[in-house]
This record gives sequence, C-alpha cells and structure tokens, in this order.
Amino acid sequence: MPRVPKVEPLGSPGVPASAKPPGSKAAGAAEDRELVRRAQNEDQEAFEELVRRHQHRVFAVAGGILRRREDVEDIAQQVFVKAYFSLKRFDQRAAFSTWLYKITVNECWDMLRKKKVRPLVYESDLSEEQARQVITAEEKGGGGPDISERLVARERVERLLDGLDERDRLMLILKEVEGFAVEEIAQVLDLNANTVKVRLFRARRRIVNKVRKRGE
Amino acid sequence: MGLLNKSRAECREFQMRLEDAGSAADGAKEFSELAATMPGALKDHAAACADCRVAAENIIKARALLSALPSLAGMGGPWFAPRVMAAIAARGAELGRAPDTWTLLPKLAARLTWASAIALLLASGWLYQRPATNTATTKSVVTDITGEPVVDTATPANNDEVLVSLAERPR
Repeated sequence: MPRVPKVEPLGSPGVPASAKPPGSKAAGAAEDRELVRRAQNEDQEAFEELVRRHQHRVFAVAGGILRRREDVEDIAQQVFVKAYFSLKRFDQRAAFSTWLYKITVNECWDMLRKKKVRPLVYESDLSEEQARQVITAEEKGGGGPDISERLVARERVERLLDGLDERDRLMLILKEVEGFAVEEIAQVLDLNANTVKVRLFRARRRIVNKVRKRGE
Repeated sequence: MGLLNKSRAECREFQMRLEDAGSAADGAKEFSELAATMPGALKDHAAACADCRVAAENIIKARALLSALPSLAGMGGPWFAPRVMAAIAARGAELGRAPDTWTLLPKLAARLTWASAIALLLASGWLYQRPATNTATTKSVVTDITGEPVVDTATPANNDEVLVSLAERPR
C-alpha cells in the first residue's frame, strides 16, 4: 500500500477559515484531488488523510445545524463513512470539500427530520456539571467572564437564533462563529453568493431588532 | 429622481460589500472601522446614509452577540480519524458478510408481499371463472317392495361415511 504524504490540515482545531494562509486553497484542492484519486483506488491511508484534513469543517457545519455535541460527533462519523462508500461514484467535478459539506448538510437535516426535535440546545438542557465541562473545555482556564454569565449569554443567543429560519441560522453561525467565507457558505447550501449576503443581512437585522425590542 | 436611484444603487453596493468588509475587518467594533475598508465613494455615501449606517451597526452588534457561541470546529482531533476508519472497517465487514435468510427477509418483504398479492389475485380469478363441474354423485338406491330404500349402494367415500350410513340404518 503506497504511503500517503502527510499534508497540513486545512483547518486546525478551533482555527477559523479566515485564519488560513492565503494561497493555501488552490494547493489544498489539488492535494485533495490526489488523495481522492488514491482513496478511490482503495488506499485507506489516503482517505484517513482526507478525514484529518476536513474533520474540523465537517464538525463546524454539523455544529451549525445540530448544536448538540453528541449528535455532531455521530453525524461527523456517519458523514465520513458514507463518503467512503460513495467515493467511487464521486467524479471530482466539484471540490471534495463541497461534496462532503453537502453530505453533511443532508445527513444533519435527515437526522433532525427523524428526531423531529428543535436543533438548538440550551444550556438549561445540560446539567450544571455538563455545562461546566463544556465551558472549561473551550476556555481552558482563559480569563473570560464568569461561567454563569457566559452560560446566560449563550442561552440568550441560542434563543434569538431559534426564531430564525434553519438556513439563515446556519449561515449566521458559519459566518460569525465558524469563520466561513460567503463563497464557502454558498457552496455548503448550494446558493448564489449574493443570495447568501442578502439573507445574512436580513437575518442579522432580525436578531438585532429582536434584541432592541426586548430592550437588552 | 436620478439622485434617488443613484443613492439606492450605492446603498445596495455598500450593503453587499459590507459582508466582505466584515470579514476583512474582523473584530471591528465601530462603524468607522468597517467603513475604512470600503472604497472612497462608498465611504462618503455611508457617512451620509442612515440605512447603511444601521446595516453596518447590525453587523457589529450581531457579531458581538454571536461571539457568545462556542465554535464546534475544534471538536475533532487526532482521535477522530482512527475512529472513522474503525467504523468503515466494521461497516465493510458487515457489507461483506454473506446475507442469511433472516437478514434477507426484511429486504425482500416488499417483493414477497407483492408476489403473494398477485398470486392470490390470480388464484381467486381462476377459481371464480373455471367451468362449474358436476360434483353431485348419482346414487343408485335399491328399494324394497314398499319403496323404502334398503341399501345405499353408493360407494362410501371414506370411513366417516361408512360409519354415518351404518348409524342411520334402521335397526
């Protein structure tokens, strides 16, 4: 089995897309094409490399829709398993990442349909201990505001987003939380970049107006 | 009128460019910081247009609000790829295993239902339309002088009929 050269992952944990070095996109796409070609010839190491390179973006997209950590983990795994068994049918006309994000979005929406639950998770759904673990995992002792303040703020935002259309909410989270570019969001949701801009603009206006009305 | 149209076109352009400016001026906390990344003409327009100022402020406020949410992109890690490969291996083994009857049955259930329904329909059609056959058996009855039947000479079909005929015979 041929060894796959190790390449730098596209997104390091917690590093938004905007932090990627310029010029890395085209090179990354070429490397992806080569890895996909090898994986199509049953090179498992090549596929493992693809998983390493794209896992953070898949987590981000799934997280934008589901928000529940355990669901996000399960879906991310399911997405890559599905991609592996469908890889022979992937003709590389689109970028591997685009194809993968579409699988992710479809799997997430399928899951929500099956569960018939609201995708958002509120901190009040978590036990105090779970919530504390979540915060400490993210902050790792950072000198931010008090945990309970952060929990309240997060819950407030989740509730604000709850009033938005599912797609608009995903766009906002991908743009403002996960650092996706407008063009990437357009790829994920199969929309025109200008449509994404207009919808982002309206979604922002809606949540800001809500906050104003509540006098927060 | 022309001035109004020009102004609207500028508003549209400014608001479209805000997205790109928003990404470029990551961390901008004021309108002026966002507007600074715009070309000169749009910067002047924004200074005079209340709608565009509101749009820019919405970006800043929404960004501040959403900063309360954690990014889930960092959830993955070195543990994830081996877990996926193990899941793939397990799924591959499952797919490679020869299917036994009980795993095939649910897969074939729909087809079996259809086949049974068609067979039932054909059988009932055939039963309904087949030519009626004379099932009545002519029995030759021997009578005595009074005309009363003496012996039923019809061949009994089975042991039950023999017993019934014996039971019915007058003693």
